[in-house]
Amino acid sequence: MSIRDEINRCLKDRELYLLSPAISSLSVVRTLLVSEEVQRFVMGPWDNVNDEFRGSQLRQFLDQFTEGKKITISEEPYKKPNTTYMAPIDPVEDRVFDIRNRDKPAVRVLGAFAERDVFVALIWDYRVNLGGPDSKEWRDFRERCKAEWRKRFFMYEPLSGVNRNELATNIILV
Amino acid sequence: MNLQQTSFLSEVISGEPIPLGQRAYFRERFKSNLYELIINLFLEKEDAGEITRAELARRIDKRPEQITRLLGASGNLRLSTVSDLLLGLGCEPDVSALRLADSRRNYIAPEWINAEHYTSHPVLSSEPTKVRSTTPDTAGAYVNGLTAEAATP
Repeated sequence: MSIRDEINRCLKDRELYLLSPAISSLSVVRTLLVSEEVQRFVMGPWDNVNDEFRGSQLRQFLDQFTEGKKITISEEPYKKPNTTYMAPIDPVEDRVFDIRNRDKPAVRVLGAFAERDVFVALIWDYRVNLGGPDSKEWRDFRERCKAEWRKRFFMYEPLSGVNRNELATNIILV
Repeated sequence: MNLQQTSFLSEVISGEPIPLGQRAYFRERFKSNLYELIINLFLEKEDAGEITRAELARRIDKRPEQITRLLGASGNLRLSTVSDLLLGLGCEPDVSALRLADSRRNYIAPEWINAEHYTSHPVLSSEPTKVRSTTPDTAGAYVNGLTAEAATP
């Protein structure tokens, strides 16, 4: 068994979905696997136009990852430009990363790298619901992500990304 | 209102009214494409020792930290800023439009992913899920604000 086998099992059992770009002719360089929670938000069905608008914006943001566009990844959880695409979550030993979509209202998507260029996006929330860096909400958010990872990949740790260049191609370290 | 996505581009190609979600997607993509153009140019020139962030800032009358922010993500770009940044890099955009109707399906996953598991988009429950939100009123203001902004970029 390998983590690839587990990913295929998750896809078969619908514990994960492959999020391919909305525009089917786009090149695909990286792979994004999403939970049903994330899939529902970015693909609908939505019950109002606000969610449709915000979910579609996020879909495009995630497609930038899949399409292999240049993305910024920070070395540290806190010292980073506001505009960073992806950042590790404190503590970095947890190997959880945050996709940071700053369109309003800002959204955070948490997940981890299964291997280079393969990110598993597991949970999301509006940034405003998460409070400050030391808040209980952020801690619960991070712990929920770790629990979702363990549910699917109990035997496997995410990539550590100590060297960020090992996480993905075409990145800018910030 | 139940907004079920079927084929993503069907309305665009068929001439039907284009749903808000698709317009939001393509606005975001437009910004992302412009960003990609600028950041690639900048990095190419930076690697060649032809420019630094500070020099670019000086050329277009901005502060270095503004350049850092602008080059950090697509969300901060206005059309006037795009023009200034490209000009500061000694360029202007060569604009063209692609016909979406002519697009062809591409490779969508690495070969180790079992094709049986992704060939069709998953059929989730058709029952719309109330996603968590700030407040509907606030979210609506954002939608309206962005719609207005997109009309006058």
